[in-house]
Amino acid sequence: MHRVVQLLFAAVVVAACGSSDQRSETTVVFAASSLVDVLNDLSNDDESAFVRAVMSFASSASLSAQVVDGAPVGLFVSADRQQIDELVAAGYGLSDPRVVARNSLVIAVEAGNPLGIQTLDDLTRSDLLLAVAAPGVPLGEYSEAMLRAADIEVSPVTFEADARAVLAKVVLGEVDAGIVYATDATSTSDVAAVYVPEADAVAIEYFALEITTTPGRSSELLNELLGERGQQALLQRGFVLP
Amino acid sequence: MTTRARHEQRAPLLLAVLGTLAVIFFVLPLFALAVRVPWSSLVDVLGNEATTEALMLSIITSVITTAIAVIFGVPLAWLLARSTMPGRQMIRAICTLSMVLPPVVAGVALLASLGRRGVVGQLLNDWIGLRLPFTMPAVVIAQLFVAMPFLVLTVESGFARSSTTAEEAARTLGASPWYVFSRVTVPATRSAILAGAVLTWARALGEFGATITFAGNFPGATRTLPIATYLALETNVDDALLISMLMVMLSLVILVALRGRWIGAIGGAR
Repeated sequence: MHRVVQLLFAAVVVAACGSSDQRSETTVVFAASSLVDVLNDLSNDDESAFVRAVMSFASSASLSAQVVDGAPVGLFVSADRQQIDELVAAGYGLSDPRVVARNSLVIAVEAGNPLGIQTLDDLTRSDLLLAVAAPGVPLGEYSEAMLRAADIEVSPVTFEADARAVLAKVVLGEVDAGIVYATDATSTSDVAAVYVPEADAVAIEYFALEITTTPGRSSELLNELLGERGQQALLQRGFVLP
Repeated sequence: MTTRARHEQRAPLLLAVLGTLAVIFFVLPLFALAVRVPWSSLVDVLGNEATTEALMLSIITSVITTAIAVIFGVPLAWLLARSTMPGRQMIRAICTLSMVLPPVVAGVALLASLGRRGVVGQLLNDWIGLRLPFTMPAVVIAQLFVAMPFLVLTVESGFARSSTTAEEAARTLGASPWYVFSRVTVPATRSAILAGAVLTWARALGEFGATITFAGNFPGATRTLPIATYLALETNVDDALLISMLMVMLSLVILVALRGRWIGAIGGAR
């Protein structure tokens, strides 16, 4: 019995040491899920500072909630201004938030666009199955704003949790169309992106904020995102530079 | 089955310590949740139509799921426990695999089979114009796929444990196989069936990943309480905490009530 307890104790000590070692080496980056490809590109580049970053992707709102709950984050890149403003107001900002990239909304349709969807108005067709992001998540808010500005009323069959979930429903053929970020629609050849002029009505900006609690090497990461390497990576994934 | 005699005995120290730690592990998160919940806005959240709609949908779908799970799961459990069909081990493994699949993967598997472009779903769509995803039946199917194994495994072990003497006696007296099953076997394993049904119901009530993947999220049709909670986390953390507390209390009340009044009573009467 004593051996078992000793083993358990040893395991706990080893685990504790492991995690503290890791903490001094790496910086945690929280980023909106639409940034997953571009940040993974950077972390696969040996010369990039993101090689030593630990990254977590989710909707900006849930990541922001995790920051407030004390997650050990160094750099937070949000798809939503509101989340950043709230964090800054609560004193989590190490420096001023910076715009690192811009994005726009598109209609994602099946590759080849078999239904011939060309305009935002086409989304109101009664036989068309449409997926949008849920109100409350940034993509959902942007989509709603775009539709409201264009005075178009749609009846989606589902309100998905984030951009990737909307895209997945289009890729799997469960819906005919989905409103997503341009960068998501260009991330897979299974879907085609339909650009609509009404999308210009919403400005989608990505803000990066260094977090005070466990900054680590966050300024190095932020500088890289704003510098040549980061901006090139963003361009390649379909983002528009600030 | 013979009566089980329980002797009061002192727990060995190590067992008592480890067991107590396990209790703390389960109680602490619930306690912390209860402390953080902004109880003052309980009335607002309960009066919120979106929340009550999700609550009703969750209750209705999880009850339907449980009923279907009993109808199909009890026969499956009987086949696994009593029949001599070949490949039983393999069938048991496959029929309970969805318990250990990540629920989102279970949802994708359901789309691949019953979705608009799925193996069977495409036929349903072409022949009778039936589209399952984004409908309430899809919620039930997702819950059933993930939760029914709990019933199957519980009932199977009930069948395996119960004595076959009474069944043999009934057969000797000329009872048909169905009569033996419905009048002898099922009453003898009532407590296992109820326990399995409760586990299935609880799992179905909390189902999230398979549901949002296969059934999506639409208010009134597929937005169950767990999905409403997840989305509330995006907009209003306080609401999310309150709704999750609501789920915890609902489950706790029903689990305790069933355990104490029905399962306990039946177990004790034997």
